[in-house]
Amino acid sequence: MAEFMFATGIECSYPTINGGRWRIDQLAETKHYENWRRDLELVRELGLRFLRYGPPLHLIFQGPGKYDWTFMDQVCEAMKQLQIVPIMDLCHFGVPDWLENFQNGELPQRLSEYAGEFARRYSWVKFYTPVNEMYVTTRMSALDGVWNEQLRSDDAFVRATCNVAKASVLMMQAIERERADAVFVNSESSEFYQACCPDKEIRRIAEFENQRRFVALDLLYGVQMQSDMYAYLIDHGMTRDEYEWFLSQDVARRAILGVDYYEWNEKLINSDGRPENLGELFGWYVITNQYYQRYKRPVMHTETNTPDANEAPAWLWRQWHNVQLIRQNGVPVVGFTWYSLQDQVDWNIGLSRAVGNIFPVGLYDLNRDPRPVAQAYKHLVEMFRDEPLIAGAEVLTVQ
Amino acid sequence: MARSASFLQYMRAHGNTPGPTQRPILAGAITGLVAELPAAAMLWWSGALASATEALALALWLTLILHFAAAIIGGAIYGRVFSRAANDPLGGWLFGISYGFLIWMIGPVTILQWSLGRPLVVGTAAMGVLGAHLIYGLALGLLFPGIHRLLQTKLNRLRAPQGRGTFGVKS
Repeated sequence: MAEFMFATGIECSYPTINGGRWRIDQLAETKHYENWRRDLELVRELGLRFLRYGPPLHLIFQGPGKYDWTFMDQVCEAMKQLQIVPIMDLCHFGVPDWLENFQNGELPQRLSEYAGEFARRYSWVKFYTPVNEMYVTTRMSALDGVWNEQLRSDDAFVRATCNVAKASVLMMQAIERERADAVFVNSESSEFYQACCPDKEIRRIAEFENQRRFVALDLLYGVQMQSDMYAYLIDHGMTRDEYEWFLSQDVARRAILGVDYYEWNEKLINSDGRPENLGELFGWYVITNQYYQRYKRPVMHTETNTPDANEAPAWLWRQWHNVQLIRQNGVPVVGFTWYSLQDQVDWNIGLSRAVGNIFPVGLYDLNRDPRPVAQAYKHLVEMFRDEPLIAGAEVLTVQ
Repeated sequence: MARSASFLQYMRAHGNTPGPTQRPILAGAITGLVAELPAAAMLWWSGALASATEALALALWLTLILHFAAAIIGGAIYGRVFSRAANDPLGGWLFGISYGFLIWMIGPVTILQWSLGRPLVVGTAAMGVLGAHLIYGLALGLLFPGIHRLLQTKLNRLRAPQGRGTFGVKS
């Protein structure tokens, strides 16, 4: 029977910084490698079944046709024992050293091979996120110069976007060949840009950014984009053949649109034309509705948290009430996620440096002691466990 | 004051508030009592207990009781101030031994010396006092995470949360 997907996630980002010389591995920073069994047990103690889980791609995929499944075999066995339903997050902000970075044209094919191997080995896994937050991945790597290739150009951004979108398509196809009833949760960071003033140039920048946030998902789902955005892609290196290829694919049939939301997702374009964090202006409801109207897919709230641990229960309930209202208004939301299970490290500086700052956004701290939001989430899940699912959501049946 | 406020803000920013299952003050008090055992042994062995008793003009048993009481209160304060940080099984010893050194600085070295108008103890006994406080701190830091874990209730035994930010709870 299909059920509303209350979930959490294990923070698993693994981008490189410092020109590729240093890899940030959140599974290591948060001590998940030592505590993975305990972490899985905590998921069940919270009353949850669904878990966004990112296997360490950079450790597993060691070369063409070369994989080390030792760690994942243990984790998957424990997941089955605990009846955890994983949403496997196959590429989370980084790639193995030998694949270099998101500029590599070989990436889509290689990640597709990995996804196919993964689905073959763990054939009981039904839910997948092929590439997590494509927009954030490409923006931070190729436009803001923070992770991986650390480039700052439109050419690099367009190349990275084409590569991750193509990788997603090929990965979904590879997984479907192994498991025809697989369900894909395409998590993306919800973004919104507000012009600060009626200045024509400022409004143009805001409008441009509000289109650019959709580019990767447009390519993935084969949605015809605005002519100016199409021109931007062509001007910066995408070929017409590539674009046509994206439009001719059909991977959206079994896809859920994952919409992540944090208080820094809404930005103001200031009078200098630069983005500034705006805080929660319109909120998840409004921003998600924009994504839903564009893609018309079932939606899942796939990430949220707040760094003020004391305010976190209130934030949790605010996000949940957003979900309730948008469902009442006809948007088919099928799941909700507090991200992540445990505190994170250095996300307060966007993983730009390896400092070791604890970012107290978890349901549990790094000693695996619950924070107040864990109690609140457990209570919320108990209250809404029988939340009815949308019509036609039978594809979400777990087995 | 400003420094104190920013320290508290720092602790708050790192989410140092105890979680719903945690009992840091009780855990600290119990751990303080347990940690006092090796510390008291050190005081006795080094002759510091006898010297301090003489300096304070108290009965031996009363000095001992006062020291145990201070250790329990010190443990409770340790639990409240360091809270989540004190739960770290790997780093707790460092917090603890630093805390022991701080208590030695504030207690025997500053307050007692100031109130008596002379050093509390001298010679080997003075080393014994320092050693006892370091042992107390080390034991406090090492034992706190384990004792706290024993005292914590399970999340699923807690009632629904009450108060601010707990929408949906029936009053």
